[in-house]
Amino acid sequence: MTVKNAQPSTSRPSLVKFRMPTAENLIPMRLDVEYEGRRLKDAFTWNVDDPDIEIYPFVRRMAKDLNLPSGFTPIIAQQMQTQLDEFRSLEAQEMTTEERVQTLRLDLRVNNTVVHDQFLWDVNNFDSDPEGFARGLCKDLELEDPEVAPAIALSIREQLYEIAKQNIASGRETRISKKVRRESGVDFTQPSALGTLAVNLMRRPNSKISIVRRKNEWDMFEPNVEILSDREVEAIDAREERNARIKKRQEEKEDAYSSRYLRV
Amino acid sequence: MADDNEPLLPTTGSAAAAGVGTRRISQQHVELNENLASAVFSSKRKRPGAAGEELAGAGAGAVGESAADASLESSRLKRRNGAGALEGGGGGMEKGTWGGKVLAGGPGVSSSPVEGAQTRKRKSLEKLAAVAGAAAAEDDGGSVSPSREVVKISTNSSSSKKRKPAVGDEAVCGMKDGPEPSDEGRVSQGLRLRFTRSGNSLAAKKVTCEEDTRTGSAGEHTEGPNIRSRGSFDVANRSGEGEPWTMPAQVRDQSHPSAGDGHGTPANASNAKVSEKSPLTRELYRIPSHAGWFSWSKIHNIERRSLGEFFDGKSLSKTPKIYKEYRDFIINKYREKEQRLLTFTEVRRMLIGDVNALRRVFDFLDHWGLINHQVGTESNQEASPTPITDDGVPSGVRVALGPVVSPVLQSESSLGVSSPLTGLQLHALPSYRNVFAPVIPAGEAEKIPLKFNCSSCGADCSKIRFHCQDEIQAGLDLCPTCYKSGKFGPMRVPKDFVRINGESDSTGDRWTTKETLSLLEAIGRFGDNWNQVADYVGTKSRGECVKQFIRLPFGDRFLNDAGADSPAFMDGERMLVDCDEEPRVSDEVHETEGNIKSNGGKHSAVRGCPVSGKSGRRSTKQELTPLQDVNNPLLGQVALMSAMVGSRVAAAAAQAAIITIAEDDPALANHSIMNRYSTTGAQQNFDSRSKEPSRPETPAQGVLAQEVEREADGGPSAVQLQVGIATGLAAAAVNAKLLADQEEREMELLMTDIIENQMKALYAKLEHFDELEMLLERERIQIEQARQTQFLQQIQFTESRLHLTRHG
Repeated sequence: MTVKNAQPSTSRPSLVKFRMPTAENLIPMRLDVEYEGRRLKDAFTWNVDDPDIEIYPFVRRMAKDLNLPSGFTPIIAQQMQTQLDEFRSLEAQEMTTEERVQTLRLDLRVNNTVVHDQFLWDVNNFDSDPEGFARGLCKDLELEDPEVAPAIALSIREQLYEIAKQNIASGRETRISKKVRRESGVDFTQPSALGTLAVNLMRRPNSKISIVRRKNEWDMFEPNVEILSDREVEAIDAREERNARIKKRQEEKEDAYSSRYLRV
Repeated sequence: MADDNEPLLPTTGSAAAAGVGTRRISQQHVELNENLASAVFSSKRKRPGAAGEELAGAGAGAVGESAADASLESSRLKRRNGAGALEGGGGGMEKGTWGGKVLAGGPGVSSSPVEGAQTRKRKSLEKLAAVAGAAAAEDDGGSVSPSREVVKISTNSSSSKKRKPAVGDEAVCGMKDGPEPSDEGRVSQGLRLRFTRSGNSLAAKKVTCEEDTRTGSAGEHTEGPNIRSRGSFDVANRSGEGEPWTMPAQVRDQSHPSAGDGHGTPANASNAKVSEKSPLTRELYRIPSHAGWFSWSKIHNIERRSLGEFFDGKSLSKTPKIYKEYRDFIINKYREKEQRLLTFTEVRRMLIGDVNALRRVFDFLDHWGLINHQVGTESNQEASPTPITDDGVPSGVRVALGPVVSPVLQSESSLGVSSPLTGLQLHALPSYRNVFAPVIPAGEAEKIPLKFNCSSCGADCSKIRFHCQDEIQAGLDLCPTCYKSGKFGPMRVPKDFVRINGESDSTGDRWTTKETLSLLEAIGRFGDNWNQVADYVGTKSRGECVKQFIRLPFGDRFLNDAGADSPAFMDGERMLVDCDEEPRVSDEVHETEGNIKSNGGKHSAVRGCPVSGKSGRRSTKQELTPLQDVNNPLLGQVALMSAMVGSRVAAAAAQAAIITIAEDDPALANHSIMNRYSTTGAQQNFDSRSKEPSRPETPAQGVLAQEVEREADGGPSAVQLQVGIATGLAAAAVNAKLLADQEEREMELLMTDIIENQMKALYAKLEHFDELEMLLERERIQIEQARQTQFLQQIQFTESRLHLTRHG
């Protein structure tokens, strides 16, 4: 009896069905399709809560808009379906809503704009608004390229998604280990690592709490924007292309290995 | 004073100084009185007391360089930024920098202007006007371009507000009500001053000063301004006669005496400078009026509601304390450099915490204008003289720009001069008051007037606004128009709003009753020797004394019977001012009233207002908003009052009153009615309502008396009429009050009934409970008995069984 009373609320945070830890349940989607020498790369968010939106009409529409050969459609649809399925499978699980502040990093290039940034994000706060944040950032930095803000938002979403997935896994582990611990009679009150709470980040060596960051860290948490010239962009594109090709070849090789290994 | 006999020029000089003084930085609506122009001239001088000479030169139509300078600059007066600086935009001016510095500092100079204004005779003022005008004329003459400068001075503050920077090029010159332009036909090259007088207000509503310049031979300006005023205005006359006035030196000589006389000027000017600076440098954080709930030390409910995540206690790192730290940090960060837009991106690198939460805090502060509210205005001002473009401030928000206020070449100016003309008798005229209102003592400049904007339409409603006292929307203000059309926003009813006239605490030179009394005493003893008066009062300066005296809601009347019937009287005064859209002044007056009045209770009644009185008044005022633009305060007043009671009632009452009055001599009528009213007022011993009756009389008397004095005709009938109306309204008001009282009594009775019935019901219930209790008790006893019998039976049964077994 007493044990039961003590347990809830304090140590165990409330659990909810898995979702994107943002105000809107939008998952990031990334497409990378190659077909008959043409390559399509795209990224966008997908509202998994909207029952009216389906993959196939969307893909058909997209193919039409971009004037893609019909061979693209099934591949795109399949890629999207895979990503959606993954989310659906995760949805069966639960996630915590406990505050958990993590550092997110932005490291992206959109057309001519390169953005590096770093900030703290409560990855379990369902009120967060990556799009709004990204818009504000672009406004503050006076970035005119309209594609930057969505790209930033998407990047944030991808990171959040990734973190959320990890949290499920680690959450399962800690629950199990808690059970084990309880059975073995050992009790760790706060197993979560330092730094997941903003308060802990605010803690200073002199045991005071300060909301202000140390001055020498300001630069790290400041956005750094670079506008590239067209030539630089071309160079980077070329390099990326090359890297991608190398990577792909390696993957193919690995695939070959594994398939052989499996067959054996 | 003594100056009057002196050559006119010196006088002019000091009057100009007065102009400087009257400028007031903190005045919310842009205000610049006519004196300003002359002030400009004088301030431009580097040599103390030299102002006069330049002016004189200008007035004379001298083509001297200095005159040309002055005029040119004056013609380019531009509206400048919040500092209230006026700047001479004229390129190529040698002394083009007089701008903001000298002009800006209204407060310090206050004393001299007031005094100057008051003591000057019409003559000198006329001169001033003429001089200013002439200067403007010179402008064109000097540059030999046949152009036309229009100097407009409008009393209407609203129009002045609308003034755009484009108007900056107008030269503002102080105009006297008095001067009658003559020789218009001859004014080919001179200066024509046209004065329009509107209604009963003596203030010239609009003074248009046109100057037509002929293309003359370069450099020589043979004809000066052609102004003839009543007094002997040498300069003007001379120029009017077409005498070439090519001797600036002479003018200078003449004006030199002014150095002695106008010694106040330079000193005051420097004072002004100082006082101007002080509001800028002091540590004072300005926030928009709607964010008035904000407090450094507390967290307001609005904050709690808007940023619930910090207050729900769910998170360890989002606590009220941390919220407050975030908030204070962000605001302080902004304060470091208020002109610059503070961005979230900049803030977040310095703060630890979830960027989303931080962003919400930041947006919240930004939304309420607690940060970034000054960005739009100030940066713009740097770029151009245009102030105010919103930038990052939510619409409908306006900034509490303290010193920023309105440098505009403005209105009221004509009034300013005109009032001194007629001396103290003008007291009833709000316009008169207006002139001096802008003068703030240096210390007072600390208080920032707020500029209010309608939350609904964004219009400036600093003068009359309807303020919502609701906690949630602490900063909700509506302009009369929006209030009228019911744009209250969700969940609000008209009742939530309170009418506010301007800001109440913009003038802080409080006069205690004692001081006021000693002031009056001193005036009685020394007359208008203000130096002595000031000495006698001791705690106030000369200027303050004058100002206070002018502000007192009575004129000579007060001297006669020291405030005998003041409450009603003053209330009337107050209302009058209300109507006149001169809120700040009205408040001042109000305060003074409070001080003087021995009968404080009544005063508070007026403000706090009984339900009936208040709501009634408010609603009618709002209905009448358009009428408040009427220049004649009396008319506005009457309209207001008649709207309050039914039109028929008012008409009937007025009818009766007129009949009565008609029987008497007009002059007597005034007094008799006045007395009658004060007695009726006393007899009814009500609150505000009862005082309203006598209200219109005061203005009527003051205004009309002057009217009579000046024009010697048409007065009496007008007086009769007005008094009649007053009578009628009085009757109506009384009637209304009676009705209200009756209603109240009825309500009381009903309330008693309700309470009685409630009590009865309670008693009935209690009885019922008692009964129930009794029944229960009875039942309990029965059960007890049954139990006992059963027990006995059980015993018997056992006994018999035992018996059986033993036997068996």
